[in-house]
Amino acid sequence: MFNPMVLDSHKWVDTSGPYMDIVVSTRSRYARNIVGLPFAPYAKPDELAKIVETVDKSIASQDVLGASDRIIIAKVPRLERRYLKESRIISAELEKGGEHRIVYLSHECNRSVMVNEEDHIRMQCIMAGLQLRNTLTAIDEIDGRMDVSVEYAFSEKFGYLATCPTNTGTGLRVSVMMHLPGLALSQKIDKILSLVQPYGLTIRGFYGEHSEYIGDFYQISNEVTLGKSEEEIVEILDKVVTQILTREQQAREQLFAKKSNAIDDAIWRSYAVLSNARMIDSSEAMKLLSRIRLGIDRGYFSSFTHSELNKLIIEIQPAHLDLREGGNVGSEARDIARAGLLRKRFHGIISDN
Amino acid sequence: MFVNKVICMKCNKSFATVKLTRIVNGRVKELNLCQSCAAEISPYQKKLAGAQANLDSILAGLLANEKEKKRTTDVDITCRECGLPFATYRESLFLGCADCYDSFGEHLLADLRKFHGSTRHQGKVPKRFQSRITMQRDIRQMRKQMEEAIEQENFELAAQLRDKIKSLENQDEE
Repeated sequence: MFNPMVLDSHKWVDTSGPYMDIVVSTRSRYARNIVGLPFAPYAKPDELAKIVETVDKSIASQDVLGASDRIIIAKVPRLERRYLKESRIISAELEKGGEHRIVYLSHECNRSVMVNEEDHIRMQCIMAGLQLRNTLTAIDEIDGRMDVSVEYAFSEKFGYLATCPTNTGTGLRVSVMMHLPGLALSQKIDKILSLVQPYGLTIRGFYGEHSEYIGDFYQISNEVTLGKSEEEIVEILDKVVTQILTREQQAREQLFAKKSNAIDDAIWRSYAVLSNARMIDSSEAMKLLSRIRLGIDRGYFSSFTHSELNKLIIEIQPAHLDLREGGNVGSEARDIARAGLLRKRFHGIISDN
Repeated sequence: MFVNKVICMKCNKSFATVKLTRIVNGRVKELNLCQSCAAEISPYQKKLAGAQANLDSILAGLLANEKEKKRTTDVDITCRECGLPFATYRESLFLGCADCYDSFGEHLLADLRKFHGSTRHQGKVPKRFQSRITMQRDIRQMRKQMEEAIEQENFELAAQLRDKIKSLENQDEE
Protein backbone atom coordinates (compact mmCIF):
# COMPACT_ATOMS: atom_id res chain seq x y z
CA MET A 1 0.00 0.00 0.00
CA PHE A 2 1.24 3.43 -0.82
CA ASN A 3 2.08 6.24 1.51
CA PRO A 4 -1.17 7.92 2.59
CA MET A 5 0.66 11.24 2.28
CA VAL A 6 0.42 10.86 -1.47
CA LEU A 7 -3.35 11.28 -1.47
CA ASP A 8 -3.09 14.50 0.53
CA SER A 9 -0.15 15.88 -1.42
CA HIS A 10 -2.17 18.70 -2.96
CA LYS A 11 -3.29 19.87 0.48
CA TRP A 12 -1.49 23.19 0.06
CA VAL A 13 -4.21 24.16 -2.41
CA ASP A 14 -6.78 24.36 0.42
CA THR A 15 -4.96 27.36 1.84
CA SER A 16 -5.43 30.90 0.66
CA GLY A 17 -3.20 33.82 -0.24
CA PRO A 18 -3.24 37.32 -1.70
CA TYR A 19 -4.73 37.89 -5.17
CA MET A 20 -6.37 34.48 -5.36
CA ASP A 21 -8.63 35.76 -8.14
CA ILE A 22 -5.67 36.07 -10.48
CA VAL A 23 -2.76 34.16 -8.98
CA VAL A 24 -3.21 30.43 -8.43
CA SER A 25 0.09 29.70 -6.75
CA THR A 26 3.67 30.80 -6.13
CA ARG A 27 6.56 28.38 -6.03
CA SER A 28 10.22 28.93 -5.12
CA ARG A 29 13.02 26.42 -5.28
CA TYR A 30 16.76 26.22 -4.73
CA ALA A 31 19.09 23.86 -6.57
CA ARG A 32 22.00 22.64 -4.43
CA ASN A 33 24.81 20.13 -4.85
CA ILE A 34 27.16 18.50 -2.38
CA VAL A 35 30.86 19.16 -2.68
CA GLY A 36 33.19 16.36 -3.82
CA LEU A 37 30.62 14.16 -5.57
CA PRO A 38 29.73 13.95 -9.27
CA PHE A 39 26.48 15.61 -10.30
CA ALA A 40 23.47 13.30 -10.08
CA PRO A 41 23.06 12.40 -13.79
CA TYR A 42 26.62 10.98 -13.77
CA ALA A 43 26.82 9.61 -10.23
CA LYS A 44 27.22 5.87 -9.62
CA PRO A 45 24.75 4.03 -7.37
CA ASP A 46 27.07 4.12 -4.35
CA GLU A 47 27.62 7.84 -4.86
CA LEU A 48 23.86 8.44 -5.15
CA ALA A 49 23.41 6.45 -1.94
CA LYS A 50 25.99 8.64 -0.23
CA ILE A 51 24.09 11.76 -1.29
CA VAL A 52 20.89 10.33 0.16
CA GLU A 53 22.72 9.50 3.38
CA THR A 54 24.14 13.02 3.67
CA VAL A 55 20.72 14.60 3.20
CA ASP A 56 19.07 12.10 5.56
CA LYS A 57 21.53 12.96 8.31
CA SER A 58 21.11 16.68 7.80
CA ILE A 59 17.31 16.53 7.80
CA ALA A 60 17.27 14.41 10.94
CA SER A 61 19.85 16.40 12.90
CA GLN A 62 18.84 19.93 11.92
CA ASP A 63 15.09 19.35 11.86
CA VAL A 64 15.14 20.88 8.40
CA LEU A 65 11.49 20.45 7.48
CA GLY A 66 9.78 20.00 10.81
CA ALA A 67 7.17 17.23 10.70
CA SER A 68 7.69 15.53 7.40
CA ASP A 69 7.50 12.22 5.55
CA ARG A 70 10.33 10.52 3.74
CA ILE A 71 9.14 8.96 0.50
CA ILE A 72 11.38 6.56 -1.43
CA ILE A 73 10.62 7.23 -5.07
CA ALA A 74 11.53 3.71 -6.23
CA LYS A 75 8.84 2.34 -3.93
CA VAL A 76 6.15 4.67 -5.20
CA PRO A 77 4.18 3.15 -8.11
CA ARG A 78 4.11 5.11 -11.34
CA LEU A 79 0.56 6.30 -10.96
CA GLU A 80 1.28 7.77 -7.54
CA ARG A 81 4.42 9.43 -8.78
CA ARG A 82 2.29 11.09 -11.41
CA TYR A 83 -0.20 12.05 -8.71
CA LEU A 84 2.59 13.73 -6.72
CA LYS A 85 3.66 15.59 -9.84
CA GLU A 86 0.08 16.76 -10.48
CA SER A 87 0.01 17.98 -6.89
CA ARG A 88 3.10 20.03 -7.90
CA ILE A 89 5.10 18.47 -5.08
CA ILE A 90 7.68 16.62 -7.17
CA SER A 91 9.24 17.54 -10.51
CA ALA A 92 8.81 15.82 -13.86
CA GLU A 93 12.34 14.48 -13.41
CA LEU A 94 11.46 12.69 -10.18
CA GLU A 95 8.19 11.45 -11.66
CA LYS A 96 10.34 9.26 -13.93
CA GLY A 97 11.27 7.19 -10.89
CA GLY A 98 14.70 5.66 -10.28
CA GLU A 99 16.85 4.26 -7.50
CA HIS A 100 18.31 6.39 -4.71
CA ARG A 101 15.78 9.13 -5.18
CA ILE A 102 13.92 10.51 -2.21
CA VAL A 103 11.41 13.21 -1.53
CA TYR A 104 10.85 14.68 1.90
CA LEU A 105 7.40 16.18 2.16
CA SER A 106 6.37 18.47 5.02
CA HIS A 107 3.09 17.54 6.66
CA GLU A 108 1.37 20.64 5.33
CA CYS A 109 2.54 19.43 1.90
CA ASN A 110 3.77 22.89 0.94
CA ARG A 111 7.48 22.24 1.34
CA SER A 112 9.55 19.44 -0.08
CA VAL A 113 13.17 18.41 -0.48
CA MET A 114 13.97 16.24 -3.50
CA VAL A 115 17.14 14.20 -3.47
CA ASN A 116 19.01 13.13 -6.60
CA GLU A 117 16.88 14.98 -9.03
CA GLU A 118 18.82 16.83 -11.75
CA ASP A 119 20.76 18.29 -8.83
CA HIS A 120 21.64 16.47 -5.61
CA ILE A 121 19.18 18.59 -3.68
CA ARG A 122 16.16 20.58 -4.77
CA MET A 123 14.20 22.31 -2.03
CA GLN A 124 10.91 23.93 -2.84
CA CYS A 125 7.94 25.67 -1.31
CA ILE A 126 4.57 26.19 -2.96
CA MET A 127 1.83 28.45 -1.61
CA ALA A 128 -1.58 29.55 -2.81
CA GLY A 129 -1.92 33.03 -4.27
CA LEU A 130 0.88 35.54 -4.68
CA GLN A 131 3.46 34.87 -1.94
CA LEU A 132 6.86 35.56 -3.44
CA ARG A 133 8.63 36.52 -0.23
CA ASN A 134 6.92 33.91 1.93
CA THR A 135 7.98 31.07 -0.34
CA LEU A 136 11.50 32.48 -0.51
CA THR A 137 11.69 32.76 3.27
CA ALA A 138 10.50 29.17 3.59
CA ILE A 139 13.22 27.75 1.33
CA ASP A 140 15.82 30.05 2.90
CA GLU A 141 14.99 28.40 6.19
CA ILE A 142 15.42 24.91 4.74
CA ASP A 143 18.63 26.00 3.02
CA GLY A 144 20.03 27.62 6.15
CA ARG A 145 19.46 24.52 8.26
CA MET A 146 20.99 22.21 5.68
CA ASP A 147 23.98 24.51 5.33
CA VAL A 148 24.96 23.63 8.91
CA SER A 149 25.86 20.05 8.03
CA VAL A 150 25.90 19.79 4.24
CA GLU A 151 28.91 21.21 2.44
CA TYR A 152 27.50 22.74 -0.71
CA ALA A 153 29.34 22.89 -4.04
CA PHE A 154 29.97 26.61 -4.25
CA SER A 155 32.37 28.97 -5.95
CA GLU A 156 32.95 32.59 -5.10
CA LYS A 157 32.69 33.52 -8.76
CA PHE A 158 29.71 31.42 -9.89
CA GLY A 159 27.82 30.88 -6.66
CA TYR A 160 25.97 27.62 -6.03
CA LEU A 161 27.16 25.23 -8.73
CA ALA A 162 24.33 23.44 -10.47
CA THR A 163 24.30 20.47 -12.84
CA CYS A 164 22.94 22.69 -15.59
CA PRO A 165 24.63 26.10 -15.86
CA THR A 166 21.21 27.69 -16.47
CA ASN A 167 20.58 27.18 -12.72
CA THR A 168 23.97 28.25 -11.42
CA GLY A 169 24.37 31.27 -9.18
CA THR A 170 21.51 31.54 -6.76
CA GLY A 171 20.01 28.23 -7.90
CA LEU A 172 16.72 30.01 -7.38
CA ARG A 173 13.70 29.55 -9.58
CA VAL A 174 10.55 31.41 -8.62
CA SER A 175 7.39 30.85 -10.60
CA VAL A 176 3.96 32.38 -10.38
CA MET A 177 0.95 30.64 -11.88
CA MET A 178 -1.42 33.31 -13.14
CA HIS A 179 -4.94 32.98 -14.47
CA LEU A 180 -5.42 35.65 -17.15
CA PRO A 181 -8.76 35.19 -18.92
CA GLY A 182 -9.36 38.95 -19.11
CA LEU A 183 -6.19 39.62 -21.06
CA ALA A 184 -6.71 36.50 -23.19
CA LEU A 185 -10.32 37.36 -24.07
CA SER A 186 -9.45 40.93 -24.98
CA GLN A 187 -6.52 39.69 -27.08
CA LYS A 188 -3.96 41.67 -25.12
CA ILE A 189 -2.14 38.65 -23.81
CA ASP A 190 0.56 38.35 -26.49
CA LYS A 191 1.57 41.95 -26.06
CA ILE A 192 1.77 41.64 -22.29
CA LEU A 193 3.68 38.40 -22.40
CA SER A 194 6.22 39.76 -24.87
CA LEU A 195 7.08 42.48 -22.35
CA VAL A 196 8.27 39.89 -19.87
CA GLN A 197 11.35 38.56 -21.65
CA PRO A 198 13.58 41.63 -21.39
CA TYR A 199 13.37 41.25 -17.60
CA GLY A 200 15.06 37.83 -17.72
CA LEU A 201 11.73 36.12 -17.15
CA THR A 202 10.02 33.39 -19.11
CA ILE A 203 6.47 32.12 -19.58
CA ARG A 204 5.24 28.58 -19.63
CA GLY A 205 1.89 26.84 -19.75
CA PHE A 206 0.07 25.10 -16.91
CA TYR A 207 2.03 21.88 -17.19
CA GLY A 208 5.44 23.56 -17.19
CA GLU A 209 8.16 23.38 -19.79
CA HIS A 210 7.05 23.04 -23.42
CA SER A 211 3.36 22.94 -22.49
CA GLU A 212 0.71 24.95 -24.28
CA TYR A 213 -1.26 27.71 -22.64
CA ILE A 214 -4.40 25.95 -21.53
CA GLY A 215 -7.41 27.51 -19.81
CA ASP A 216 -5.64 30.91 -19.81
CA PHE A 217 -3.14 29.75 -17.18
CA TYR A 218 0.37 31.16 -17.48
CA GLN A 219 3.45 30.41 -15.37
CA ILE A 220 5.87 33.29 -15.13
CA SER A 221 9.32 32.53 -13.78
CA ASN A 222 12.85 33.89 -13.70
CA GLU A 223 15.33 32.53 -16.19
CA VAL A 224 18.40 34.39 -14.95
CA THR A 225 19.96 32.95 -11.80
CA LEU A 226 23.48 34.36 -12.03
CA GLY A 227 24.44 37.99 -11.49
CA LYS A 228 21.31 38.90 -9.55
CA SER A 229 20.72 38.34 -5.85
CA GLU A 230 17.75 36.33 -4.58
CA GLU A 231 16.15 39.56 -3.42
CA GLU A 232 16.64 41.19 -6.84
CA ILE A 233 15.13 38.19 -8.62
CA VAL A 234 12.06 38.29 -6.40
CA GLU A 235 11.79 42.04 -6.77
CA ILE A 236 11.76 41.88 -10.55
CA LEU A 237 9.12 39.15 -10.50
CA ASP A 238 7.10 41.14 -8.02
CA LYS A 239 7.20 44.22 -10.25
CA VAL A 240 6.29 42.38 -13.43
CA VAL A 241 3.61 40.20 -11.86
CA THR A 242 2.03 43.24 -10.19
CA GLN A 243 1.97 44.98 -13.57
CA ILE A 244 0.27 42.00 -15.19
CA LEU A 245 -2.16 41.79 -12.25
CA THR A 246 -3.21 45.40 -12.74
CA ARG A 247 -3.66 44.92 -16.48
CA GLU A 248 -5.70 41.78 -15.91
CA GLN A 249 -7.94 43.63 -13.45
CA GLN A 250 -8.41 46.44 -15.96
CA ALA A 251 -9.10 43.99 -18.79
CA ARG A 252 -11.74 42.21 -16.69
CA GLU A 253 -13.39 45.50 -15.73
CA GLN A 254 -13.54 46.56 -19.36
CA LEU A 255 -14.92 43.24 -20.46
CA PHE A 256 -17.56 43.26 -17.74
CA ALA A 257 -18.54 46.81 -18.70
CA LYS A 258 -18.50 46.52 -22.47
CA LYS A 259 -19.13 42.89 -23.27
CA SER A 260 -21.09 41.74 -20.26
CA ASN A 261 -23.62 39.78 -22.33
CA ALA A 262 -21.02 37.80 -24.23
CA ILE A 263 -18.97 37.16 -21.07
CA ASP A 264 -22.00 36.07 -19.07
CA ASP A 265 -23.06 33.81 -21.91
CA ALA A 266 -19.63 32.14 -21.98
CA ILE A 267 -19.64 31.69 -18.20
CA TRP A 268 -23.11 30.18 -18.05
CA ARG A 269 -22.54 27.93 -21.04
CA SER A 270 -19.45 26.60 -19.27
CA TYR A 271 -21.54 26.02 -16.18
CA ALA A 272 -24.17 24.24 -18.29
CA VAL A 273 -21.63 21.82 -19.71
CA LEU A 274 -19.81 21.22 -16.41
CA SER A 275 -23.03 20.45 -14.58
CA ASN A 276 -24.40 18.16 -17.29
CA ALA A 277 -21.63 16.53 -19.32
CA ARG A 278 -21.26 12.76 -19.14
CA MET A 279 -17.75 12.64 -20.57
CA ILE A 280 -15.13 15.36 -20.58
CA ASP A 281 -11.40 15.42 -21.26
CA SER A 282 -9.00 17.41 -19.10
CA SER A 283 -8.28 20.08 -21.69
CA GLU A 284 -11.99 20.95 -22.16
CA ALA A 285 -12.54 20.82 -18.42
CA MET A 286 -9.66 23.25 -17.84
CA LYS A 287 -11.07 25.68 -20.39
CA LEU A 288 -14.53 25.57 -18.83
CA LEU A 289 -13.22 25.86 -15.27
CA SER A 290 -11.30 28.90 -16.44
CA ARG A 291 -14.63 30.56 -17.31
CA ILE A 292 -16.12 29.57 -13.95
CA ARG A 293 -13.12 31.14 -12.24
CA LEU A 294 -13.91 34.34 -14.11
CA GLY A 295 -17.55 33.88 -13.06
CA ILE A 296 -16.57 33.96 -9.38
CA ASP A 297 -14.98 37.35 -9.99
CA ARG A 298 -18.17 38.44 -11.76
CA GLY A 299 -20.08 37.70 -8.57
CA TYR A 300 -21.61 34.37 -9.56
CA PHE A 301 -21.21 30.99 -7.82
CA SER A 302 -20.83 32.67 -4.45
CA SER A 303 -20.70 29.29 -2.72
CA PHE A 304 -17.42 28.59 -4.54
CA THR A 305 -14.07 29.90 -3.38
CA HIS A 306 -11.03 30.31 -5.59
CA SER A 307 -9.17 27.67 -3.65
CA GLU A 308 -11.99 25.17 -4.16
CA LEU A 309 -11.77 25.85 -7.86
CA ASN A 310 -7.98 25.50 -7.83
CA LYS A 311 -8.42 22.18 -6.08
CA LEU A 312 -10.80 21.03 -8.81
CA ILE A 313 -8.21 21.92 -11.43
CA ILE A 314 -5.79 19.53 -9.74
CA GLU A 315 -8.41 16.86 -9.03
CA ILE A 316 -9.43 16.55 -12.67
CA GLN A 317 -5.89 15.63 -13.73
CA PRO A 318 -5.52 12.02 -14.97
CA ALA A 319 -3.59 10.41 -12.11
CA HIS A 320 -5.84 12.06 -9.52
CA LEU A 321 -8.91 10.54 -11.19
CA ASP A 322 -7.22 7.18 -11.69
CA LEU A 323 -6.28 6.91 -8.04
CA ARG A 324 -9.84 7.78 -7.01
CA GLU A 325 -11.07 5.06 -9.31
CA GLY A 326 -8.59 2.60 -7.86
CA GLY A 327 -6.05 2.30 -10.67
CA ASN A 328 -5.33 3.18 -14.27
CA VAL A 329 -8.82 3.03 -15.75
CA GLY A 330 -8.08 4.20 -19.30
CA SER A 331 -9.02 7.43 -20.98
CA GLU A 332 -12.72 6.78 -21.61
CA ALA A 333 -13.48 5.73 -18.05
CA ARG A 334 -11.40 8.68 -16.91
CA ASP A 335 -13.42 11.12 -18.98
CA ILE A 336 -16.58 9.64 -17.47
CA ALA A 337 -15.15 9.90 -13.94
CA ARG A 338 -14.07 13.47 -14.59
CA ALA A 339 -17.53 14.44 -15.82
CA GLY A 340 -19.04 12.73 -12.79
CA LEU A 341 -16.79 14.59 -10.35
CA LEU A 342 -17.52 17.94 -11.99
CA ARG A 343 -21.27 17.26 -12.19
CA LYS A 344 -21.35 16.50 -8.51
CA ARG A 345 -19.52 19.73 -7.67
CA PHE A 346 -21.58 21.92 -9.97
CA HIS A 347 -24.99 20.39 -9.85
CA GLY A 348 -27.54 22.39 -7.93
CA ILE A 349 -25.31 25.39 -7.30
CA ILE A 350 -27.89 28.11 -7.08
CA SER A 351 -26.58 31.26 -8.57
CA ASP A 352 -27.39 34.73 -7.42
CA ASN A 353 -27.31 36.25 -10.88
CA MET B 1 30.62 17.84 -67.77
CA PHE B 2 34.17 16.70 -68.32
CA VAL B 3 35.37 13.42 -67.00
CA ASN B 4 38.94 14.04 -68.02
CA LYS B 5 40.46 17.40 -67.42
CA VAL B 6 40.34 19.52 -70.57
CA ILE B 7 42.01 22.89 -70.97
CA CYS B 8 39.92 25.84 -72.10
CA MET B 9 40.20 26.26 -75.88
CA LYS B 10 40.18 30.04 -75.62
CA CYS B 11 42.53 31.06 -72.82
CA ASN B 12 44.49 27.81 -72.78
CA LYS B 13 44.98 28.29 -69.07
CA SER B 14 42.02 27.20 -66.91
CA PHE B 15 40.27 23.87 -67.01
CA ALA B 16 37.19 23.78 -69.22
CA THR B 17 33.94 23.37 -67.33
CA VAL B 18 31.48 24.43 -70.01
CA LYS B 19 30.67 22.78 -73.33
CA LEU B 20 29.19 25.29 -75.81
CA THR B 21 27.78 24.25 -79.14
CA ARG B 22 28.06 26.93 -81.84
CA ILE B 23 27.27 26.95 -85.49
CA VAL B 24 30.22 28.46 -87.28
CA ASN B 25 30.07 28.84 -91.09
CA GLY B 26 27.24 26.33 -91.27
CA ARG B 27 29.15 23.73 -89.33
CA VAL B 28 28.50 22.55 -85.79
CA LYS B 29 31.45 23.32 -83.61
CA GLU B 30 31.93 22.23 -80.00
CA LEU B 31 33.81 24.62 -77.74
CA ASN B 32 35.33 23.49 -74.47
CA LEU B 33 35.69 26.57 -72.32
CA CYS B 34 36.35 27.69 -68.78
CA GLN B 35 33.56 29.56 -66.95
CA SER B 36 34.97 33.05 -67.52
CA CYS B 37 35.71 32.55 -71.25
CA ALA B 38 32.24 31.02 -71.73
CA ALA B 39 30.76 34.07 -70.04
CA GLU B 40 32.44 36.31 -72.63
CA ILE B 41 30.81 34.45 -75.48
CA SER B 42 27.37 33.52 -74.15
CA PRO B 43 25.04 35.90 -72.30
CA TYR B 44 23.43 32.89 -70.65
CA GLN B 45 26.78 31.68 -69.36
CA LYS B 46 27.47 35.20 -68.12
CA LYS B 47 24.35 35.16 -66.04
CA LEU B 48 25.17 31.71 -64.80
CA ALA B 49 28.66 32.81 -63.77
CA GLY B 50 27.13 35.60 -61.72
CA ALA B 51 24.74 33.22 -60.02
CA GLN B 52 27.60 30.81 -59.38
CA ALA B 53 29.60 33.57 -57.74
CA ASN B 54 26.63 34.35 -55.50
CA LEU B 55 26.15 30.73 -54.64
CA ASP B 56 29.85 30.41 -53.89
CA SER B 57 29.74 33.27 -51.45
CA ILE B 58 26.62 31.86 -49.78
CA LEU B 59 28.25 28.46 -49.52
CA ALA B 60 31.41 30.00 -48.17
CA GLY B 61 29.34 31.80 -45.58
CA LEU B 62 27.55 28.62 -44.60
CA LEU B 63 30.78 26.69 -44.36
CA ALA B 64 32.30 29.39 -42.22
CA ASN B 65 29.26 29.27 -39.97
CA GLU B 66 29.49 25.52 -39.72
CA LYS B 67 33.18 25.83 -38.91
CA GLU B 68 32.39 28.40 -36.25
CA LYS B 69 29.78 26.10 -34.74
CA LYS B 70 32.17 23.20 -34.87
CA ARG B 71 34.82 25.20 -33.12
CA THR B 72 32.60 25.65 -30.07
CA THR B 73 31.23 22.11 -29.87
CA ASP B 74 34.47 20.49 -30.94
CA VAL B 75 36.32 22.08 -28.09
CA ASP B 76 38.61 19.22 -27.33
CA ILE B 77 38.80 19.45 -23.58
CA THR B 78 37.70 17.21 -20.77
CA CYS B 79 37.17 17.96 -17.11
CA ARG B 80 40.38 17.26 -15.24
CA GLU B 81 38.42 15.95 -12.27
CA CYS B 82 35.60 13.79 -13.70
CA GLY B 83 36.80 13.40 -17.30
CA LEU B 84 33.58 14.65 -18.89
CA PRO B 85 34.23 15.86 -22.46
CA PHE B 86 33.02 19.38 -23.17
CA ALA B 87 31.10 18.06 -26.19
CA THR B 88 29.06 15.72 -23.96
CA TYR B 89 28.13 18.64 -21.75
CA ARG B 90 27.06 20.59 -24.83
CA GLU B 91 24.68 17.82 -25.88
CA SER B 92 22.86 17.49 -22.55
CA LEU B 93 23.75 20.81 -20.91
CA PHE B 94 24.56 18.71 -17.83
CA LEU B 95 27.99 19.25 -16.33
CA GLY B 96 29.73 16.30 -14.71
CA CYS B 97 30.89 17.78 -11.43
CA ALA B 98 31.64 21.04 -9.66
CA ASP B 99 35.17 21.11 -11.10
CA CYS B 100 33.81 21.23 -14.68
CA TYR B 101 33.17 24.92 -13.98
CA ASP B 102 36.91 25.53 -13.71
CA SER B 103 38.06 22.94 -16.23
CA PHE B 104 35.91 24.27 -19.06
CA GLY B 105 37.11 27.81 -18.35
CA GLU B 106 36.33 30.43 -20.99
CA HIS B 107 34.05 28.09 -22.96
CA LEU B 108 31.72 27.73 -20.02
CA LEU B 109 32.04 31.43 -19.24
CA ALA B 110 30.66 32.13 -22.71
CA ASP B 111 27.65 29.91 -21.98
CA LEU B 112 27.03 31.50 -18.60
CA ARG B 113 27.13 34.91 -20.23
CA LYS B 114 24.67 33.72 -22.87
CA PHE B 115 22.26 32.27 -20.30
CA HIS B 116 22.44 34.98 -17.67
CA GLY B 117 24.09 38.04 -19.19
CA SER B 118 26.53 37.83 -16.30
CA THR B 119 29.31 35.65 -14.95
CA ARG B 120 29.49 36.81 -11.37
CA HIS B 121 27.40 35.54 -8.47
CA GLN B 122 25.66 38.25 -6.46
CA GLY B 123 23.44 36.25 -4.13
CA LYS B 124 23.76 34.55 -0.78
CA VAL B 125 26.71 32.42 0.21
CA PRO B 126 27.09 29.32 2.39
CA LYS B 127 28.15 29.93 5.98
CA ARG B 128 31.68 28.64 5.49
CA PHE B 129 32.29 31.30 2.79
CA GLN B 130 30.39 34.09 4.45
CA SER B 131 32.98 36.15 6.27
CA ARG B 132 35.47 35.95 3.42
CA ILE B 133 33.02 36.83 0.69
CA THR B 134 31.30 39.65 2.50
CA MET B 135 34.73 41.07 3.21
CA GLN B 136 35.67 40.87 -0.46
CA ARG B 137 32.39 42.49 -1.42
CA ASP B 138 33.08 45.27 1.10
CA ILE B 139 36.52 45.75 -0.39
CA ARG B 140 35.10 46.03 -3.91
CA GLN B 141 32.48 48.48 -2.70
CA MET B 142 35.09 50.61 -0.92
CA ARG B 143 37.39 50.64 -3.95
CA LYS B 144 34.51 52.06 -5.98
CA GLN B 145 33.88 54.71 -3.33
CA MET B 146 37.57 55.51 -3.22
CA GLU B 147 37.70 56.06 -6.97
CA GLU B 148 34.68 58.33 -6.73
CA ALA B 149 36.29 60.23 -3.89
CA ILE B 150 39.43 60.76 -5.95
CA GLU B 151 37.37 61.97 -8.89
CA GLN B 152 35.68 64.48 -6.63
CA GLU B 153 39.10 65.42 -5.24
CA ASN B 154 38.00 64.39 -1.78
CA PHE B 155 41.45 63.06 -0.93
CA GLU B 156 40.89 62.87 2.77
CA LEU B 157 38.04 60.39 2.32
CA ALA B 158 40.01 58.52 -0.33
CA ALA B 159 42.93 58.08 2.08
CA GLN B 160 40.64 56.82 4.84
CA LEU B 161 39.11 54.31 2.44
CA ARG B 162 42.55 53.23 1.25
CA ASP B 163 43.63 52.47 4.83
CA LYS B 164 40.44 50.53 5.52
CA ILE B 165 40.88 48.48 2.35
CA LYS B 166 44.47 47.76 3.30
CA SER B 167 43.60 46.50 6.74
CA LEU B 168 40.79 44.32 5.37
CA GLU B 169 43.13 42.88 2.76
CA ASN B 170 45.64 42.05 5.45
CA GLN B 171 42.95 40.23 7.42
CA ASP B 172 41.96 38.33 4.30
CA GLU B 173 45.49 37.05 3.83
CA GLU B 174 45.80 35.76 7.36
